[in-house]
Amino acid sequence: MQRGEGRLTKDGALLVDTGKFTGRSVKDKFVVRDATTEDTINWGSINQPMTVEHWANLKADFMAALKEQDELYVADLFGGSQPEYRVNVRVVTQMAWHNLFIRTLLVRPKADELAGFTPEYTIINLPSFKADPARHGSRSDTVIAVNLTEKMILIGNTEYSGEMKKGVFGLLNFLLPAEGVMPMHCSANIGADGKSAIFFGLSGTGKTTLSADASRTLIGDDEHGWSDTAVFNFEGGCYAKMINLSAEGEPEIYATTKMFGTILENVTMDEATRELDFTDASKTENTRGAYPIEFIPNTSEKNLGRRRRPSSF
Amino acid sequence: MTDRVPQFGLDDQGIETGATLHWNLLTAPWWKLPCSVARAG
Repeated sequence: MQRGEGRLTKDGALLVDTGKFTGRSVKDKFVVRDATTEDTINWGSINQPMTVEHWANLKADFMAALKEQDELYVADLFGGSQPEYRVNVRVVTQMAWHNLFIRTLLVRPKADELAGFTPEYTIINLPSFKADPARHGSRSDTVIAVNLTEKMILIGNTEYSGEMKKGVFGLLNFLLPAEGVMPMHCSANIGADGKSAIFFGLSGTGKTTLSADASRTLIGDDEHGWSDTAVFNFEGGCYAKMINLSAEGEPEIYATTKMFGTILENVTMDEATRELDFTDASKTENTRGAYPIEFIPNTSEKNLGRRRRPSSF
Repeated sequence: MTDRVPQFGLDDQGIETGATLHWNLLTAPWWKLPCSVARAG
């Protein structure tokens, strides 16, 4: 707040505006095409290639831009809850709230795990960085570039925080199948009988809502792995749609909007009363709330369900 | 808020910067924030 990045709502959540981008810029995302990825990526309009030369230019310019920063925020986190399959991710951000966001969304190491933390993958997020299509091979001045050989993701000219979260999901989608784990875009919870259920669906179709059912134990709302021994959450937080949210319809999620530590993106607030209006889609339908998973009552202590086979889909 | 600095820093990764680094911040308790005092007033 001191940096002018956000404001507090009446009940203590942090409200931010993500600027020009209120969703991910999928057409601006590229994967470096090299020996690591040549035969392991399904290249096309979704997985767009970036040349090694363009990446080198982009990385050099990101490194130069880092030298010019006055303040940077660094978070050391895990992608994945099951220790055998998690990756160590270091996230460097220009904006303080981005750092809070990614710490909320990924799995937070304990204090004793932080001291000796060695990053395997690094994400650098500089919204002030403007890419040059001629020099960097980007489509526009916005770029999300993934280099799986150098284990680095560079994000420039977007303040939409979901790029970081999905960047880690992309990493795990690349890495885990080779280890016998199926990555899934789904929510998951556990019933009283100990059996887990997983819910597949596109964005906005109810994954987060269904998984937050108070009568069941929440594993996670968006990204999971299915290993030989468990269904485990890749994340340590939730990223819920806020549009038309109500206490009656989704009480558990609504309650998080009144908690200090929750981040609300692009939700409209009355400047005088600091009351929120979840029905206002004037900026975007994709208003979002990010909160640690423990803000939902009845969550799985280890973010996973120890049953080999989920009971339903 | 407290910085929790790991042994393996950015320079170990070949990342150079003159920026002030804030490492692994924790969320400040609500009651410690100036804005909460302002609200109470």
